[in-house]
Amino acid sequence: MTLPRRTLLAAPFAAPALARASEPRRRILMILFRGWEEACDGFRDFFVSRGLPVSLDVRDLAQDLGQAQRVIDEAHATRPDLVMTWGTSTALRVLGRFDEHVPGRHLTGIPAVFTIVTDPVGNRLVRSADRPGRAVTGTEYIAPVPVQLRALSAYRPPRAIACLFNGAEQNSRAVVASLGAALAEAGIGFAAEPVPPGADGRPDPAAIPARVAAARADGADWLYIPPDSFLNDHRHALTTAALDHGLPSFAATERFVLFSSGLAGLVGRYYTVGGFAGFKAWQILSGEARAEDIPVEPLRRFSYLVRMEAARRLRLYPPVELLRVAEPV
Amino acid sequence: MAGADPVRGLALRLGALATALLTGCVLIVSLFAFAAFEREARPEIEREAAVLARTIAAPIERALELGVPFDELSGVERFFDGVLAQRDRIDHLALVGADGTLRALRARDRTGAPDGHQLSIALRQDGQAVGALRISLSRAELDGALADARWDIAIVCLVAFLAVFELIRVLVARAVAMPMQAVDSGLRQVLGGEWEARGPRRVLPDEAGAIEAGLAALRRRLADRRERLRWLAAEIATLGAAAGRQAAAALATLDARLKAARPPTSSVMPADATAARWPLFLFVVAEQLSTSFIPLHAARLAGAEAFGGLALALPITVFVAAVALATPYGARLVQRHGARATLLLGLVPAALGHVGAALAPDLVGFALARGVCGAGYAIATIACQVHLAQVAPQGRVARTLGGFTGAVMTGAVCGTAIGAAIADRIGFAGTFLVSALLLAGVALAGARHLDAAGKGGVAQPLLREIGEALRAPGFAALVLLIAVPGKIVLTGVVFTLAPVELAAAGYTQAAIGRVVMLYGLAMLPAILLGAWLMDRFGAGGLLLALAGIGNGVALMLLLGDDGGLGLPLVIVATGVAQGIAAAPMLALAPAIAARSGRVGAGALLGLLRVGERLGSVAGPLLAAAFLAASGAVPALAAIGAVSLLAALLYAAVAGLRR
Repeated sequence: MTLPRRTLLAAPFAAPALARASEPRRRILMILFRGWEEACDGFRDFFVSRGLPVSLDVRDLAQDLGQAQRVIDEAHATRPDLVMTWGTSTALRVLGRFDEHVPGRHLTGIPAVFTIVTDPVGNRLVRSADRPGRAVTGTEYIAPVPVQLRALSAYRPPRAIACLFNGAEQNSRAVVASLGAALAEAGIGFAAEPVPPGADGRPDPAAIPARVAAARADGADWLYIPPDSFLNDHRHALTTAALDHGLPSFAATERFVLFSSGLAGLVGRYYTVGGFAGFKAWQILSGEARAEDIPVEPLRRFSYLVRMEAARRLRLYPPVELLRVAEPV
Repeated sequence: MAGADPVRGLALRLGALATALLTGCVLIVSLFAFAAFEREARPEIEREAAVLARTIAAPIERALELGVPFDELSGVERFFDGVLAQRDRIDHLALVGADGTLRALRARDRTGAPDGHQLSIALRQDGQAVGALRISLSRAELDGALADARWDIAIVCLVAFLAVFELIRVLVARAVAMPMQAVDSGLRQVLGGEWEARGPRRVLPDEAGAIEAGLAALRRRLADRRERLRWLAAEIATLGAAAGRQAAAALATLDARLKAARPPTSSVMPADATAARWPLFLFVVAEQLSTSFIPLHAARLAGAEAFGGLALALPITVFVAAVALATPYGARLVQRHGARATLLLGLVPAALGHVGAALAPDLVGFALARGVCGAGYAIATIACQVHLAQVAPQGRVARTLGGFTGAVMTGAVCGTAIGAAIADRIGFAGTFLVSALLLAGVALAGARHLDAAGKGGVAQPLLREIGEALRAPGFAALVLLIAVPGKIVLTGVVFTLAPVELAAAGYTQAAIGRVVMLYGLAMLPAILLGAWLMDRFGAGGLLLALAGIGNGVALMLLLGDDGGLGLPLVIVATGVAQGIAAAPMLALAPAIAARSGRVGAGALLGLLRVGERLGSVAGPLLAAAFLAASGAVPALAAIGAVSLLAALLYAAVAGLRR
């Protein structure tokens, strides 16, 4: 599915725009996984607010990676100045791993910036965070797992953590593995299981409430929600089940708390992450730096979100000290 | 019969009365000032405490606002622990419910009840009072701020007292002692048969001046009458031999009666010796105005090119070096041109240096300006010192020369304190210009109070002079074993190690400044004592040795000290020891010069001061070396040992010579 082209003429009267009126308009092809959301707003607003001459062509894969090849072919044919990808799966499919890159099958000869990607080094999108090694750079949006664990413990120290995830998503699997290792070292119980498949072989959303109830019955005192597109689509079922069974939930991404009933989360705000990706894109487009020289970075600051309504239902209020830094929602 | 001297008695009584009045006024003003401070500052401090309390209450209020029920507030103790760790001012935090039940409590001192300033912040939720946060501020912190202010007022009083006392001294000397002295010496001349006045003296248009002028008129009329009598006697002698003899006998009887009325010899303190303190005091005040901020100003000028402390020490080092180099030349200038001309000559580089320091664009320019200033300082101060040595009457040499050290110390104490206050208001550069302006006052005072005499003949070549000086009996020992170690103790202990050790013991910067000031305060009365002992008993060498030994022993006793009181006491002891030694050391120089006969007192005083400067340079270096090797207290004791050994050696050398 393709969204209509969005041209950025929103700020024609802004002084920077006038100053740059003579500069050629740069074309960016945005390849999204599940439609336009907050990170895309942040990305667009970075250019609009500065009056930078950029036009965005948006292609949405609608969670179907099968459509990716068509968009890649289009890019090779139309030669935009830069390609932006959203999500870990999209980035892996469009850009390929740096050591398994197949010209033609993967994007070739056009610089790219990715955003909302989990563990880009572990996923071999780039050789290292400091020196990507090819014309691909981007932003990370997940706080490092040990930092997340400290944030969760500051709310209430865990004894046993349960975790559901989509086994088909690389981003989820990577974070769950990393969390498992950290908890094993700390001597904290950890029970992670993929959402069981339904009749069609894909994860079955109807199974979520029962799995949450089982986790609670098995003694879990926290539910950890990894960055996961499938869970995001079914976040309401997941977080409501957790509330119903008295299980506090802690999310790695903002939507489970911001737009659902998750209790807390240490998150990179999508809007900010998208803006940061816009900054890196402009560094490349303006000729200030080459993509291969721009480091892949997380945000410097993460937001500690707390949903007070969930806290009230669970009768589990954040400690006073935490309220000095937390953003209640 | 010095005690019966009416002039000195009057000066002393006037001084005491003025001092008592001044002290009373200062005390009353200080009490009012402090009451006003209490009134204004205490609520200010309490307002600050209230703001602090609000900051602490904010997260709890936020939790309540977000709907967390008061009874379910969690992590309060941990929050309190964090606050106590971050804020020294708070020593007690409690969260209590509306019914008074204690929900959480954390206190720095768990044994006692809170005794400091108490604050209670009511906590509300949905318009209902649900409880309160109780905060107790540490009393020490609150009182510490007030005590600091008290000390500041006390120091201002002290400085005002010292400065005004100097002024009273010179006023009494000029307005009372000098006319009285002129009357006294005029009478003596008349009674000695010297009827003609030796040239007119400029008198002040006040009562004492009127008396002096009246006496001079009387003296002229008496001289005229006597002259007339002599003429009459000569006329009578022409009438016949018998009549001539009778007239001559009558004249002789008259002269004899006058001579019989002659009072006993007095040892009136020469008023010009007192008066010479004034230009010196003013000069030192001008020089010391910048003392408190020279390193700061250097740091500002150095900016990014500062190489640690070395760059900051540059202006001070250049100043000290310039003083050491210029002092012998200053002494020779006095020999050639006299004290007054030399003082005025020295003011030129000093003023140029101050103006240069105000305008210096960078560190090197500033250091050069300070060097020029140092040369002026050396020349001007040696001029005053030699002047005092020359006007000192027999039997009062030490007391007169002790006046030099006294004026320098008083000027240093006053100048440093006043300079800090001036710099606060008009900035560093402006303060240097004030110093330059003050030098105009010094020039005026110097021209009036110092006489043009005092030339000591032709000076020898410098090197030969130094050679002669070091060959003069006892002089080398005086420089190497007394002057140099004394300054090593001063700069190494009082200015270098003591601040380091006091800071480590938890003293604030202001408190360290006050403890260092104890040195000057202890020294001032000790100078008088040492000078009196020297003039009374004469055993200068013994006094010097005892002072050095006492100082060394006091420092070494620190090794056994485990409280915090030892170091301030040792600083007081150092002040007393060096004060006692100050006048005898200076008084020995003219004595040695007289015994040697080959080198002048001025040259010896100059070289003595060069030795002191070398000690001043060596002190911090030695202190730093000892500190690096062994820590502060052993370093203090080691410098004490240097003082002790040098004094013992001096005692041995002085004893052998005798």
